Amino acid sequence: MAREVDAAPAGKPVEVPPTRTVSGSEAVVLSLLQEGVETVFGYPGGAIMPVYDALFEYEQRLRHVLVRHEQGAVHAAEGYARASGKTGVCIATSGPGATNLITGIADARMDSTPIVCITGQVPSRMLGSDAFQETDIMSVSAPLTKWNYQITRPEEIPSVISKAFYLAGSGRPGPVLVDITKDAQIGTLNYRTAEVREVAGYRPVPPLDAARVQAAARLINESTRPMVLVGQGVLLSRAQAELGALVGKAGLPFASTLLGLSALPRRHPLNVGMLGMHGNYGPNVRTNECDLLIAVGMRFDDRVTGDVSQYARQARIVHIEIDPSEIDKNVKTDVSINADAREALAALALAVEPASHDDWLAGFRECDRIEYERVIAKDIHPDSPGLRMAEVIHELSERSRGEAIVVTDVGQHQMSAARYYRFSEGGRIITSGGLGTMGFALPAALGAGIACPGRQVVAVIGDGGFQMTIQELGTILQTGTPVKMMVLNNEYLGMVRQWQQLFFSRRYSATELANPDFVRVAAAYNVGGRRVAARGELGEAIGEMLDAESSWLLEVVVEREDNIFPMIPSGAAVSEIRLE
Amino acid sequence: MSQEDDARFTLSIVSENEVGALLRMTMTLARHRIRVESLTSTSDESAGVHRHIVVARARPDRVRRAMKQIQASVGVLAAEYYAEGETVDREVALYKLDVDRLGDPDSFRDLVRARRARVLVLGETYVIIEKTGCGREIEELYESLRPFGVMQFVRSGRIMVTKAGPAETAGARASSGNRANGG
Repeated sequence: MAREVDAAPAGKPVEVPPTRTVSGSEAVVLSLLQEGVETVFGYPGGAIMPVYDALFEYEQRLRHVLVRHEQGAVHAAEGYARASGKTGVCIATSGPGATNLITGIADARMDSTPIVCITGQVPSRMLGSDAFQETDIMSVSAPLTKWNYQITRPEEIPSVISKAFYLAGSGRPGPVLVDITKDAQIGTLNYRTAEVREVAGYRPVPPLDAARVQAAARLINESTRPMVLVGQGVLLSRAQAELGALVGKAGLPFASTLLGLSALPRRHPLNVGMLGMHGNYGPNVRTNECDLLIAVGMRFDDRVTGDVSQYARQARIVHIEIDPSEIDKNVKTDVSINADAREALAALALAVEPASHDDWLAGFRECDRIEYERVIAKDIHPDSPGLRMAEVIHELSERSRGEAIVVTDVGQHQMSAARYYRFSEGGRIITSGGLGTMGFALPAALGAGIACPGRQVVAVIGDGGFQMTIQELGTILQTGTPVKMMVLNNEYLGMVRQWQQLFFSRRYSATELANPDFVRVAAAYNVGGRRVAARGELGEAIGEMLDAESSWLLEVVVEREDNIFPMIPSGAAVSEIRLE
Repeated sequence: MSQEDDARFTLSIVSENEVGALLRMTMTLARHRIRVESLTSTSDESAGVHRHIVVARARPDRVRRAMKQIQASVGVLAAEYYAEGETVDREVALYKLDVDRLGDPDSFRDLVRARRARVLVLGETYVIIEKTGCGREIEELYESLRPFGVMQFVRSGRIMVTKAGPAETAGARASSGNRANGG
């Protein structure tokens, strides 16, 4: 499995002698340093204490961020990974520490986020004895991880951790869990660095099939009504330039999934908006009018397709996707290219003929006009006395010039942020897409802030989700990470309430919230803040938040019963999108 | 689609010989609501791999999706699936009967011989019959022996080899089928 090397490869941040006797726990730390890890998020406990003892020795070289709950650690690792492009790392103890990671692991799996989770485990002789804080985390995490492994012998540590990082970050990224029994942490080994870059049967980047690229190019050249669907795979493979080259050369209108939003700027002349349940009118309606869909690094999630049996039946479909199990999973393709998006797009950009589709594009702009008149204008220039989420996000977008790292939680505010934050170059959305994890934003923003010091990181959060991981204000206090928190407070679980209004006869079952004074809560954690409810104060209050040098909480009181439109009702076709 | 629409498939999976490999595979099958009828898992120490042969019933689209996910899993070296009739397969079954209920020994011996089975153990109070064959033959022998009072009946999972090359199998046909929206 492992290809052991005698010395650290050139460019690695740590030089380790070829061999020396160390404890398993020190080997964990050395292996993390060997992988270039600078920051880990975690929470100590009995079964992981030897690793924490080793961390104490290396605190100058490996920063440990003490969170307030293990869920905070894993979401922070996700935010760190999404913002930096590196693999995020979190550490927890056995039992409840490990199970508290599970939501974040599931989140990372759904959103293809590279993280390595290290958990402590009871001594190997006690496995299966229902020992204190013993949980079979291997079985629990098996369906949620890209790979997991339980280390019971110290000499396994260097190669297993190297393999964990290789698997988490290569191909379609994902979460890996390494469970280490306490005796493996305490025992000693003759430490040698290991660099695993080959795993039997694992082919992270399939070779590009030139014939399929030519077949896709032919379909593009023949198409009169083409549309590109941009997924997060474009960002993960760093294929923004190649995507821009392809759409520019062939004149292809493109729309983005929620996670693909910031791949190319919103103002790009061929950008026709966001796909999906609360996406833009044009790309949804025209999905069922186009003659060719070119999907890149996306998985035809049900929030994008609506009723899949009525999805783009008239169109031919090209699917560029690195994970072969995603091809033909939900939507059958005419030409599939199982490859890295960057490589495939570069080849496709060379193979297509220059073209433009002005009439087809004009149809999107007509849809934009309809959506603006019937939805957007009312959203961002409302005549209601109360503030609406859309105008708040619009103001944030304007004042931050679309350049912020916007980390959202899940719900109405998330959809508002996706719809109205106009990402420009450098702007980035980090959100929980596939799993829809409330409580994601605050710790993920913390992780993003630590990954990208000096960048403007704004967490857009609802009042419900904020209280799911509110304890991470303590981590912000302790680390001094300048996270800007914008809590859109409607005193409801807004998206659930919207569904209850539309589909459950306004029976608002368990969605109304009695909230604390968020600004005072923040103040208790030494985080400055302000509450704003008046339209006249909004712009200045957002400016004050963005200008703050340290963390800041802006609570914006918004209309209680605001709804997000357009909306594809659950189970309906994309073309049945409702504007009101 | 009802359970009656489920088809029987034989799945052949080769994985690394690692703790948890079987767990991941069966979890994926369970997630796709694939009912496992038998599972034969053997370690090939010389090759350092595990071979799993699963007889399963499910809707074909579920089998296709599950097998693509299993194939894409870390540690899985190969994953193929076959429709009934695409493989030559064998199972082994043991039937334990009460000696006192066998009746005429000659006619019983003729029955065993006609079914291409054999007497494995002849005890004072019981007899054990061994049968190697396809699933249908195993079940037919069971029905024939029932009148004699079958005290115990156990059968192994399936082992199989393919009749044709992988390109001509159900799995290959499913992945190159004509365009039609799934879901």
